[in-house]
Amino acid sequence: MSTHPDPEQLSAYIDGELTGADRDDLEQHLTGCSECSATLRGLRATVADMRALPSPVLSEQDHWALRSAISKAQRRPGERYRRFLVGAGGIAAVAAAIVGILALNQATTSSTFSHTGAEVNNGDQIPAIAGPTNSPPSIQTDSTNYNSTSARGLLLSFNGSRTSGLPQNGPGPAAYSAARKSIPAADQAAYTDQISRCETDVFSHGSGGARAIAYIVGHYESTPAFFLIYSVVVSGKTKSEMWVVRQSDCYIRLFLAPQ
Amino acid sequence: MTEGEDRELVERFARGESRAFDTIVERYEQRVYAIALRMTGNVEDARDAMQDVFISALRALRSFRGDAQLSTWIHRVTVNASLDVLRKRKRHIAQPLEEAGERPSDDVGPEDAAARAARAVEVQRALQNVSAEHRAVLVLHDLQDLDYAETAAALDIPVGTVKSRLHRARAEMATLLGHLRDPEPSEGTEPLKEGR
Repeated sequence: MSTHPDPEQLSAYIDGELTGADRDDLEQHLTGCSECSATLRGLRATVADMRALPSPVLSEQDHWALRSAISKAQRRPGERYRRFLVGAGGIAAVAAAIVGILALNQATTSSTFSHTGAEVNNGDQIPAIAGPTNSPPSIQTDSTNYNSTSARGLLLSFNGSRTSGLPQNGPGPAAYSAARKSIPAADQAAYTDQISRCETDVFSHGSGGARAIAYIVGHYESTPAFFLIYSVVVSGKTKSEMWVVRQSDCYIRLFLAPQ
Repeated sequence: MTEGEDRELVERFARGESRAFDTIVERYEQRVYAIALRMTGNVEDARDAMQDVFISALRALRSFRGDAQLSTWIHRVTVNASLDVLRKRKRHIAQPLEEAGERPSDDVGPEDAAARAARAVEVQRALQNVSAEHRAVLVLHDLQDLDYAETAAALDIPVGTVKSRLHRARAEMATLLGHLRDPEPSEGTEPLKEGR
């Protein structure tokens, strides 16, 4: 029997990294050396055991927790974000805002990702944002808990009297997951990308933090939609926002400034 | 997933296109999680390490130079983040990794699946008992199928060091997993080292 080879050669042999004369010499040695053959078998079995380990799968909850952590780390106030201030008596501002909103709403009907929003600072007058047809949006929620038929009503139901503050605890990833699962399975994948983009933007413009308040599945103007309601802190002030996510787009439908 | 596509994504992200980063995350999150889970041995630490990896990437990739491969960089950061998490961990007893939440095989019955899961737990336990530098080469080479050169690049060590570490790591694992082996069936074999 020849001298035992360097044991590293056995590992290299398993990996197909030995070539030519080195491989021939080792194979020759193995035919006559039970000790090296046994070592080789042990190494092979070990490699096989490791390769038989199942591939870990990231849970949906971890997936979204990661997205959320990234969004928080990445938020930059004002980026890619337009808003229109509607102040008390600010007629010119209102007119400018409506023109802007109409233009943006046209953009949202395409497959691009865009935003429209109106910030309301005065009293209880919370106008529905004009859509392309200048009519209030039709909202239908599938959960019996949230039966508001308007964007304003839906948002207000999570904002109480506007002075009573927001729910202390957000729904969390489990509620998110459950809400998402109530979308027909065939449609779920189509929403994932838009929801991800939406969440990225929510967290990126909330310079002082953002918190999910509600996840609701329903229809928006006859199209299946996902309504995401957030509490977002911008410039030290907390606002509630409702985002509408459809397969083709994701945008702010309404947001409500604090008193 | 190709190197060219990765480079393009990094360039787009560096130019300010934040959605390119989402794509990078989508491409790598499973792999990062898999490496972190095998390096740390428990789900909680793997989640922490995974977040650390992508938060680091968010900052580092804005000035990422094109002379390194994104995959190499991510592998390296994942191994380091996993080791950092393990170092910071105050718990003395890690939650043992249950293999139940992982991708099931369709070709095995419940008994085989149970036996396989039990074996996987043993293998993961053994993996936790080898040194961190040995575990890193095992995870990258034997579990993630990187070749010697890729493993060397990811760990920033020479290829020769990968070869020697890999062999020593496997030999260590073989000893730790010796109790799983059937008695040697072939004739004429003797134990490698006779104790008496």
